[in-house]
Order: sequence, then C-alpha cells, then structure tokens
Amino acid sequence: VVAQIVADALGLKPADVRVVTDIDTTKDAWSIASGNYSSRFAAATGGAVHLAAMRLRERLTKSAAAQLNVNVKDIEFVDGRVRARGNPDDAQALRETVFWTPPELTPPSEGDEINSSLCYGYIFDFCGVEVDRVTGAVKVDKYVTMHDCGRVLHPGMVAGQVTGGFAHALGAALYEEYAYGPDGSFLAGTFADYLVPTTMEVPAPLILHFETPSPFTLLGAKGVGEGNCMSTPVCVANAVADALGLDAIDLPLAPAKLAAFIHPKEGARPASVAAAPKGGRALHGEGTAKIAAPPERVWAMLLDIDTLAAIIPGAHGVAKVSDTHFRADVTLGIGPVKGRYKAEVKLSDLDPPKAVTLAGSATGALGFGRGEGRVTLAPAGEGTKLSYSYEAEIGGKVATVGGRLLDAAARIVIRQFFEALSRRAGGKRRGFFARLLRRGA
Amino acid sequence: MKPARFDYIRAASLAEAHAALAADGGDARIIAGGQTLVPMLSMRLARPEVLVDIMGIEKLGAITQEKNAIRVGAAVRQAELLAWPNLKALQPLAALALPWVGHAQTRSRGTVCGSVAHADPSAEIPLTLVALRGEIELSTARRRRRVPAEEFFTGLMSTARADDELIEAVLIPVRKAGEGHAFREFARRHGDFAIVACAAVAGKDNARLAVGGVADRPVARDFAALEGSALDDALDEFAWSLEARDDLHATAGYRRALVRQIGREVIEEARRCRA
Repeated sequence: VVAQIVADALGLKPADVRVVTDIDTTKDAWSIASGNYSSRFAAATGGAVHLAAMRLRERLTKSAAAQLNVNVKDIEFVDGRVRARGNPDDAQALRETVFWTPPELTPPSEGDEINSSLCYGYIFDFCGVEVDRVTGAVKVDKYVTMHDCGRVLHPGMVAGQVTGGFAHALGAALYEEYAYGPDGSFLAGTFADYLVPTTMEVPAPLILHFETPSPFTLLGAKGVGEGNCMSTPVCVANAVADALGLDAIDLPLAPAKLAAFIHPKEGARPASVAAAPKGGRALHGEGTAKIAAPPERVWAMLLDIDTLAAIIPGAHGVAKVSDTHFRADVTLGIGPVKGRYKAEVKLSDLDPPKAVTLAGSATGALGFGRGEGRVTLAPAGEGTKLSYSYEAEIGGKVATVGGRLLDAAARIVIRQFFEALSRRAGGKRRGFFARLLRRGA
Repeated sequence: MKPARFDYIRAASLAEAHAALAADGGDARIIAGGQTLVPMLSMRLARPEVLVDIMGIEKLGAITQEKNAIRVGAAVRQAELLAWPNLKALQPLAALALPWVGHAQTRSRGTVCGSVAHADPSAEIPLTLVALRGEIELSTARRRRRVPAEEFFTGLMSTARADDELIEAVLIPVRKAGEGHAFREFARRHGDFAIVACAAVAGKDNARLAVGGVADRPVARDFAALEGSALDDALDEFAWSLEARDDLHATAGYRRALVRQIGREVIEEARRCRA
C-alpha cells in the first residue's frame, strides 16, 4: 500500500518503490503510540507517506523546472520520469523525511492517557447458521460483513485483511482452545488437538464496503486489519445462542458442548452392560487374578527381587535399594510408541501375607508416571485370590501429545504385571509349546 | 521435531523384508507411505532402530480379485484403491469409507495396509474391515496366515501381528447379492480423527454395525432384523458396552449419543440401499 501511494504521487510503478519497514529502537522507545499496528497503518503511516511523497513531488518539480528551464506547472511525473510536458528528460533523486502528527494522535499524557486511535472504522456483520441436532456441529451458511474503513486504498489488500481476520475469528468461535486437564497438563499441544480452521471449514464471507472518508487522515483511510477478529466470534455466538434459545454461551462452540443443550438427558446404563471401570483423566482401575499358589508363596514372590525382575513389564534390571524399595530400568510402549523409563517401586503398609501397598514412579524422555496400588491376597481353595486397585497419573510429553494413549498404556502395563505374577506363581502356566506358539503368533 | 537416528533398509524383495523383520523384530518398523509413522518419528514418540521400506517390492503393489475378496497388497496407496475401477461394484462400503481417510494429499501417499498396521481406533480402513469381516494376511519367511479383522485389532495401536510378521495384504470381502451399505462419520474438521465413525452392512435378515473412534478398537455388532424401539434399545446397550471415554473434543456421553443416533441412521440407510 505504501509503495502504491508513493508510486501514485510520483508516476512510478509500485515495484519501483522499496519500502523499509524498520523501527529505530535507539531513537524511539516503545509505547502504545510508537507503532502503527492495531489497524492504524492506513490512517497514520499511509497519511505520512502520502504527505512525504507529495512534498518530494513538490521539490522535484521545482528542481526539475529550474534545470529544464520551464514553468513549474509544466512539469509532469510519467513512467518513472520527471519531464517537461511533451519534452522527455531525466530526473534526479531526492530524499525527503516527513513527520506527521495530527492533534488527535499525540504521545501519552503525564498520566499515561492516550487516544490510541486517530479514527474509528465501523463493522456491521450478520450471519445465518445451522446447528446439527445430532452432532451439535455449527455450519455457517452465509456470512455478510460490511466495513467502513474510510477510503479503500487497495481493494485487494482490504479483501485479504477481511478474509484473514474472518478465518482467524471463525477459529476462535468454533475451534481454537488452550485446553488444560484438571492436573494442569496442557491438552492442546499439537495441531491435531489445537484445531485451526482450514479452507474446508471457512466459507467465503460476502464483503461489502461503505466508504466514509475520515476527516482526520490525509487519505481518508481508517484502517481495516482486525475488524472481524472482534465482530465474527460475537456474531456467530449470537446466532448459535439464538438458534438454541440460550442467553449466553462460551467459546469455542464445540459440538459436544452444544449437543449437551440439544440432546435429551441420557438414560441410565443398561443393567445388561457390565459395570464400567472408573474413568477420568487420573487413571483408576481394579481387577482380580486367581493364582494357583498359597498366599504365603505369592507374598514371598512380591518381595523377591528376581521375581520382580521377571514380572515387571519391560524390565531390564532390578536393583534392590532396601527390603521394600526397588529400582528398575524399563521399556514400555504401545504399538510403535516406546520409551525407556527409570522406575522406582516402594512397598508400604505391609500386612503379611494379606495386603501390601505398591507405590511406583517412572520417569523418561516421553514423560513421567506415578501410581499407587493396594494388593490384597486371600486364600481361595488351594490357591490365592489376588485383588488389586490402583490410581495413576501421567504427565509430560506423552500426556500432551498422546492423551489417547495413556489409559491403554497404564492398563496394559498393570495387566501384564499381574498376569506375569500369576503365571510365575503357577496360575496359568503355559507349556513350552504353548509359549512357542504364542511367540510365533 | 527431528527423528532420532535410525537405519534404513530399502527391501528389494519380500525375502529381504522378511529377513530384516526376523533380524530386528520389535526394534524394526515397516515404512510404506509414512503418513502416520513419519510424524511419530519426528515427535520421537516412535524410535525404531530400523526402518524397512517396502515400497520397492513390486509384488506388494497389486490389487487383485480373488474368489470372494479383493486382495490389496501392502504397497497399495489409499488413493490407488479408491481409484480402482472395480471397487464400487465389488465393495461399495470401501468406496464409501475411503474418501474419509485423512485428506486427498495423505491418501496419495498413505497405504491401505499401513493404516491397518497402525490400528488407530478412529481409522476408517480398520473399521471397514471389521464391518465386512475382512482378513489380514501376515507372513514371515516360513509361514503365512490370515487373521480375521475382528481378532487382529486387539487394542489401541495394538494388533495380533508378531514382531517378525509383515502385513502382506488385506482382504476386503466382495459384496454379497442383496446387501446394502452405509458409512458416516463425525469429526471436528475435515480429515480429523473421527469422534464417531459408523459403517453398516444390511442383508435380508441382518444388519451389522461397526463403530470406530469410541472403544480402543473398531467394534462390530449384529442387530438381526431389529427395528423400532427394540433397535434403539439394542443400540443403547451397544453404545454403553463400548466404554467411551472423555477427551478434549468429546465427552463419553456425547459419543454414546452419536453411536445411538448415527448408528441408527446408517443401519436404516444400509437397509434402504439393499438392491
């Protein structure tokens, strides 16, 4: 736009003008008035550039008139040249610096008060939306946005600014969210979870203009940059709230959130479906295993380093720190997601041979996990009925990028641990061939 | 965002691929289209020591029609299967589901078998295979076996494939006379992981519904000729049995509601499509 303004004034092509976009921080301290951001560019910088270009034109005209020995009014700027009308000649380069400070755009007062805008653009938006009764998904059928940004300096760039602002705003209205779990872990760490609308999600808005040139700026421009970032989320939210008969609604308008207002209340869990394992982000679980060995023997195994080395899933080596404290290097993974962790296991609340509490932690490059479980042993016929319940939490990289993996991982590891214990105690001892087949399977 | 160090083997023959898997087992991964594996390598969620590239094995690039199934080799890209002229006539459900796999760009690289190997619970290709009772063909240098899709997917990103086995092909059953099909899925954006995906196959006295994105694997159930409120009750029970979980994008209750409603819609649509 700057190049265009200068080019228009001096009879150049915009490509002939090099725009230097630097800020001299040694000269200018940053303050709210120091930059031409916040949609003030067209109004402030655009005006200053226009002024500079016109002054330059004036001086070039005088200089050229003297050199060419013609009247000032016979000088013209055409095709990158300054010339006497009807008599082509070369021009010489001149440099002009202009500061323009309109009374409305002054530095902050002693009390740090400032009118941060020279002039004010206006926006008028309306839209029609549909909300899917089944999914709660919002579809914007038609979006109309009218801007009064004063004089439109460059229609293509104004359309680009409006369209870009609208796309960002639609993201804010429908998709984008910095989401955190109850434990503070960041849940939207990748673009698979932090959803940015793509071209498939952004309808083309109908852009209209109402040009009332600003009386305060030299070119009559007011700025157009961020308008829709402010108007669109409100407009879409109002339309959706109206469709659903709601007074207020929080952004983003996620389908599951809207569906809660649409769907009838869910009935109870059918009795025919087995009780659910406790869910949630903190992992809970419980289970039982039948082991064909008496409780005393199972107890001894739980405290035995060789047994632990054999049954902790993925353990490379177990070291005994004390009778009730063990360290191990373990490799854990589901599918291709494998990580190596340093694990610690501590036993407490020992009630031999009936119950023990196992507290474990694992730390590795992919994250950390902590968990605690209570194991109880009860005689059952010849053998033992082992019951366990646990609670675990997981954080770090895995929690951030692979939330969907966590539950499954914890369940697999814990199941493997007790299966291995049960097998080693003779619960489901597999024959040599059975094991071979299983390996091959 | 760079992968950890790994060795790369470009297998020239099936025997070379088998040998590499036999030698490195769990530390090796097959790379075909790389549309899922490469991002996982870059985020260092996966750190295999060896990548075995099978795209140069000509034999694996074939789509062939067997007696009752379409056999899709391990190097066949999703876009190739979608463009295969016989697909729609031989198995309409596959033709309905494939356009939902990722984006046009990822389908032009990603392979059918790669999606099966990765076993994402939201993925459309595993769901389709479970709905149709397809099979997965696994091979090593010494043996070959076919595993029903319902047994192959054992959990989140977990399958019945042994470390030394290569997924050589998948078998998509050919449409039976008088069957109707329907497929629908819901995701936040075009191409995102499905929050709920439903595939239905309806025959004369049976309707089979498979659901992805809810349980830790695609799950199918047969609903016989149930209709009306009996079908609603059965769908409710099915929805609860999937043990949906809350996540950032959807609650468990929301997923169950979608299974009940979209499930019913696709069953009815599949019945209407019987011809």
